[in-house]
Amino acid sequence: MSEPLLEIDSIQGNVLPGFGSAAQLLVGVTGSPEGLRAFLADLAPRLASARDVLGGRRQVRAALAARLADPDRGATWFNVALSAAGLRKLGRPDLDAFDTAFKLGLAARSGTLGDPRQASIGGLPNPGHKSHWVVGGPGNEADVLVIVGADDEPARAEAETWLRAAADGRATISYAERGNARLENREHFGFRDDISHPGVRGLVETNPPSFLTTRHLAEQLPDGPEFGLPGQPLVWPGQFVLGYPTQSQVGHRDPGPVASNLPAWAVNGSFLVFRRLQQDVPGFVRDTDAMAADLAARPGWAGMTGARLRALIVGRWPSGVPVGRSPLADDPTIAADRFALNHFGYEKAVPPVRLGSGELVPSAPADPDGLLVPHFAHVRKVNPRDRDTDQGAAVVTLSLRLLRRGLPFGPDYDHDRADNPDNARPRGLLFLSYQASIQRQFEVIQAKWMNSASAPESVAGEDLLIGQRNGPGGDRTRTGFVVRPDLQGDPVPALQDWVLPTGGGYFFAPSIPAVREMAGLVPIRREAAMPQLGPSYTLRRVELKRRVDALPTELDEWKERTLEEVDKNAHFTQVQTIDALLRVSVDKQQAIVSSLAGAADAAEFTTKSFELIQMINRAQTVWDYFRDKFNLRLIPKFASDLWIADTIAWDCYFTVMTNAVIAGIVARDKFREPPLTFLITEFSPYTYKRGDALKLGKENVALPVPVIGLPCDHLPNPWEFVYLAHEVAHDLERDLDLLEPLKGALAGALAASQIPQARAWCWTAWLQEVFADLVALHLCGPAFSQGLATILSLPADKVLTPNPAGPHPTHYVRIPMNAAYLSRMAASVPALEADAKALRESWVAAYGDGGELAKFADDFTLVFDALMTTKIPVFQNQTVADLVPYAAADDTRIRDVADYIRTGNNNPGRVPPRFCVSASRLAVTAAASQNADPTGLLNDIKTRTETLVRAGAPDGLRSSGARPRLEEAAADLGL
Amino acid sequence: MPLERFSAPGNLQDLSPEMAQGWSDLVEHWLNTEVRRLKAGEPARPIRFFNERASPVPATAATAAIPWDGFPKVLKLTQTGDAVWAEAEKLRSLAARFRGQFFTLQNGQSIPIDFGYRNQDEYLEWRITPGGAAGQLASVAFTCEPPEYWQFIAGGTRALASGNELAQIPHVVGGDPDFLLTLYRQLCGPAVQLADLVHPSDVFFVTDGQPEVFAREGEYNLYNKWNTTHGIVHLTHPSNTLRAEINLAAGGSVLRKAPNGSPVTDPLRLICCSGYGSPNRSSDPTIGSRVNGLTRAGLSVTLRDPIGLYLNAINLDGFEGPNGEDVSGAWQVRRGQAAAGPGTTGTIVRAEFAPDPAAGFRVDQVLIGGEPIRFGGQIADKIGMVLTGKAHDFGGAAPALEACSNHCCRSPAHADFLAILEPEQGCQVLDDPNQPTQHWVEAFPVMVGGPSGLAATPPGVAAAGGGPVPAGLVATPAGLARDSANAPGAAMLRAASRRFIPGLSRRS
Repeated sequence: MSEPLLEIDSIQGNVLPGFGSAAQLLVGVTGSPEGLRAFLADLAPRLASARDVLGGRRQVRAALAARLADPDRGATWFNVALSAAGLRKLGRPDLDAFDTAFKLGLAARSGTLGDPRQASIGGLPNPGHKSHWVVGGPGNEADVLVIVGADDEPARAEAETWLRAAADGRATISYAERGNARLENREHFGFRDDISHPGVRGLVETNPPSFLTTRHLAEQLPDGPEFGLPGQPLVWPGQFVLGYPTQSQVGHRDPGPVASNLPAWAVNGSFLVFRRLQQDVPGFVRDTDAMAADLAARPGWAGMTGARLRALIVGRWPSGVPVGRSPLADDPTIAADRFALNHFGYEKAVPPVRLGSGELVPSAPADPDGLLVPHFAHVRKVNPRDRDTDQGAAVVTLSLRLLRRGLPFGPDYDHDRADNPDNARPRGLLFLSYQASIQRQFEVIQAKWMNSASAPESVAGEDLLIGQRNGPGGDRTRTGFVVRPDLQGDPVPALQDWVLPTGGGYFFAPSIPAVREMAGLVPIRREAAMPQLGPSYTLRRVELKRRVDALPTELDEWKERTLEEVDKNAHFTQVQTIDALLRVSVDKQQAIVSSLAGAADAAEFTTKSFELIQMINRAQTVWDYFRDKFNLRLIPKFASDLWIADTIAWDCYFTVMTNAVIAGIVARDKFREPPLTFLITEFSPYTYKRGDALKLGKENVALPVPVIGLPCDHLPNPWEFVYLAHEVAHDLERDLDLLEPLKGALAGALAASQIPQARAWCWTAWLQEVFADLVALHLCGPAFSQGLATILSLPADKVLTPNPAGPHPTHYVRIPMNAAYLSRMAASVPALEADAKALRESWVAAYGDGGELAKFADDFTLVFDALMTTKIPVFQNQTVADLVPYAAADDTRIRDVADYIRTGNNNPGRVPPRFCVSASRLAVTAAASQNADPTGLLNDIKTRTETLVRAGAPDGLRSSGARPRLEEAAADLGL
Repeated sequence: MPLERFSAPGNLQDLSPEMAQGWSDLVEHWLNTEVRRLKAGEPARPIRFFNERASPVPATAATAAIPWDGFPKVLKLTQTGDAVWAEAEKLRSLAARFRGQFFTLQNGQSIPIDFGYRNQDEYLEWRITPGGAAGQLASVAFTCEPPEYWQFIAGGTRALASGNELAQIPHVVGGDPDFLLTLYRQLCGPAVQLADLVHPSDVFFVTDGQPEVFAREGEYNLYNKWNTTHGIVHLTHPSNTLRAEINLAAGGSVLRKAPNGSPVTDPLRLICCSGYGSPNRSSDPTIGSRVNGLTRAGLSVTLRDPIGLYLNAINLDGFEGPNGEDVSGAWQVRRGQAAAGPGTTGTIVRAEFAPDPAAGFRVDQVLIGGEPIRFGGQIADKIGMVLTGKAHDFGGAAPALEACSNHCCRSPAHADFLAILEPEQGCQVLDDPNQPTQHWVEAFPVMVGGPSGLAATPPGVAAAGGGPVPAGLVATPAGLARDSANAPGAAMLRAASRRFIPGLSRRS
């Protein structure tokens, strides 16, 4: 699937691509519905779209590339998000499809996130308890959160002034706080942040195509995620923005479904988590120094320092260097390579990768056991990368990723002057993340991973940095386990929190058109915002039209070309049906081509054109399959032999279907084209019935016309074709919908019998093959059983091996069964008894009495009755035997013809083709008694058989003449 | 020091010394069976899975705890809203799962019957006990006790081993139905009768023309009412078995290669290639791939005694009573042990969430993150499961990479839902004939040697595979039965039936 075109005029710019501003302002607003609406009406025109921010970011990037000084971007960006309460106030009560966590809000969810339960500690208010939060506690929640991104303080101050004026008299600003990027993007504990982000898939332009996330690697690894930058896996946009394909949980590079149950106004929106995380900088340093000293006193950890333990807790050194790349100390040379900072995994060593620029990013070692980076390290907890987790295979982690947009708040801690009054002021991180589901993304990472002592990878402790824990009696101790080389873990307990949640909220950042609508402004028409598809799409559409036309053109040419060379009567109906069915598909393809001209955007175009290509493939696949078989008739040798086979098959099919139509069992339009024979290189013939689904190339197609494969080495011996009666019987079973009635008849008979269960089950499993044998005996008489015995004359171990699972009866049983049926037929045709006896005796002579297998003979009568002489209600109470009578006259005729074929005396004239081949088989069997070299005789038999078949072949087209219902048939075939 | 014996799951002390020895021998037999299977008739063949009693390891041998989520991932993949929870609590038809029919014979008549199993496949199952009125919940019980343990108590070694196998087991012991009844009464109340727990007559299972005896009269019924509709005692989902765990660990120890010769390491490709467990869970792909990671590192693996799949811990963060009450007392471990402290794992096999009546509120009045409990699954979603592997470097030659024994197809309805098939089975065997345009497709074409075309195979297009099986005149000389019935589901059954249906022994 090609990546979708992102609606960058609708998506807010802090969602994609993110403001990236150095100065941020968060403003929480509450108010009445009217007041909020008026406030939003002022704000909406100022909202920065993804396109606005992308323009700005690219401008900055271009300026930096040109080595200009930090350009004056001059942009102050506004974005907005609403809580569930805010949405309801603005007339959006239809939140059913939104996740429960969002609807309940952060304050209600605070407990599940592990936030402190005690409202006070030692009589003092606990700032981490929701009742004391700066914003977002019960009764203190913002309806609206405005996020401002600015270049500098004056621009931000101007924005705040404007916001306050816009709210004045309409709504209340309940919270306002500034976030500022610190030097080198380091958060207050001193660690470089903002290194690892997912790359969002999707196009921002179609002409020429331009991805939101640039692919910098010269070559992708053969599997696993595809990367934008090293360590930046590409994730499908629906994981962050509603209305787009989500990330597959199976294939790293595959899309998952688009969430389908969302209200239309939610499309292009994203859920926002805001957590005000207060950091205790001196506490972190003090405690970790003490923990390191304690650890250093234990075996194996000599030399452990506070700095190193802090790096183990974070998973990176302050410079951002991953600990796995430099286990013992920070390394400024690695830190200078921004790509190396994020190119690493845990399960496997990552190989070096080359960027498009030619730059080589070095390999990094594997660390599955956490010897280098403990499993509890913060960056490993929140993103286990290539490790499988408690949530499943590693690919699942891609669907948990977040778009982080937070910045630090509060003054820097002055380590040099502990008494600096600023040190007493709060500081921390205004954590912001956008995602498609708060419950299935953010909350999983916080509650199931960071807070868990046994996830995502192993029982290695909680995330000491940000993980929250409520032990018995309010115990907040979190314990990480650092791993010694012998894989034993040493506990490192953190006795208190260094990071406390002190505010926040769950919000939804709607699309800009949705905000305008909520604000009562005229909605922006979606079409107006869409770029027009360019000339490259016109060209593509014309190309596709030509591809659609390829099949009908070829069909016409093929029919024209083969008019003289392929027997039109023999194959007309088959070709006609296949042609007509394919044209149903072609008509649909034409309609899709036409609709492409009206495609609203590239995503619609590519989706439709992909559907079209699949339809073309399916239709071409069907034609390719049959064209191969028809084309065999262009080779004179095969044309003759296959014509004989086709004619015998037709005679078998025609005889039964005609009787069925006359008896009113089937409508004429169910009497369809006969099977088409072709050549195979197998031991035994087979048929695919009409409607059988075949995997052809990459397509599953159902066959419109049955086919019968003939072992190509059988062509010199046309008497083998007597088995066509058996294969056609399979096809008749399908076309007459006989399977269920037969199953019913047999099951009923077996249930009422004393037959041991084990044998009864065998007969059930063998039903279809037994049926085909019996019908074949009716069609061709004893010749069929002789032909079958020839094919089954296999080594004894194969003949005697029971096959209770079917579908074929155990070989040994099959010949006595044929013989028994011949005896039964002999009631009306006495000559058959001798054939039956000969067959039985030769079989026993070759393979013995069969032991246990002989007991199946006890069941023959019951099975024969059930399948052949049960009156079938949907069969107008006729029996199968009624449809294929084998009369004494037929038997006599076949034997007379056999004499002719063997001797050349008394040419019988026109004989039904199936009788010709039956006679041919009998002639060959009889020839065994002649002592002379049979080569010449067999040649004569072949010639006479073929001549007789040609003489006896029915004239005219091979069908009932009724046209199938093509629309229906095409749908059945998936065309 | 060699392991003296294999303990009962969760170190339960239910068994008499004689039965405990019998259980140990049975578990050891299962381990040996896997070892033999991996050896494939070549005693010298290097493998990376071992039986700790036969191959002792030092007390300091490394262990690896492998965690997974207790709530079924497949339901989160395929359902939305409350259906995620509700679907988990419906009993499912065992007959439907295996696309066949159970029946008993009475007076020569076959009477169709069925069994229900819980739709909970992460080796954790639960059942709610309703309160007095509609919507009220009195308690929720959780179990991860393997069905084999209960079959063993009921029927002894013979309940779980065939004639040939019995000869390989030193201590073959009988069952103790009276004790079974005692335990059931402890867990489900005094109303339980022994007759409730056993099959009243022979049960047969028929599918695909292939009937088999499912259970004999008087044998323990895993799906008896006290373990399904009226109570919960042990796991019922056909995949939730101890042998599945052992098979998973053994299967995971096999190093695999793709048709292009490269090692298979991705968890989903590995599970599809090796054909152990189910790819749609949180548990199996992770367990198998972790084991595989250890073997790739040159270690041999086994499961730590007591072998079992355990409820490790529940995260009660955010649970509170209707007035903010602490409800942690409602969580009670009934069988097995809670984790002893940081860095250890729980070996809980049964627990209940049941507020003390004196607390003045019921389960349905408890809130989790502000949301009232309406389904047991909301609690299960907070439960972490764990199993513990043990690894040791015995040295010796590294096993050769083996080709895949299975492959996976993706569902047309849920592209993230996979089914494991035999190599010769094309994905189309799973297609629903009533949905002619909906096709299962190869999940990882490269794993079946699919062609590498101009473009990557887009989703929705399958790689080449075998065609459907034609109706032929005779079976091929090799004796391969060709299935002219072309029945969808037959293949699925065969694939599924290889995964240890308790009480049902089938050809593989």
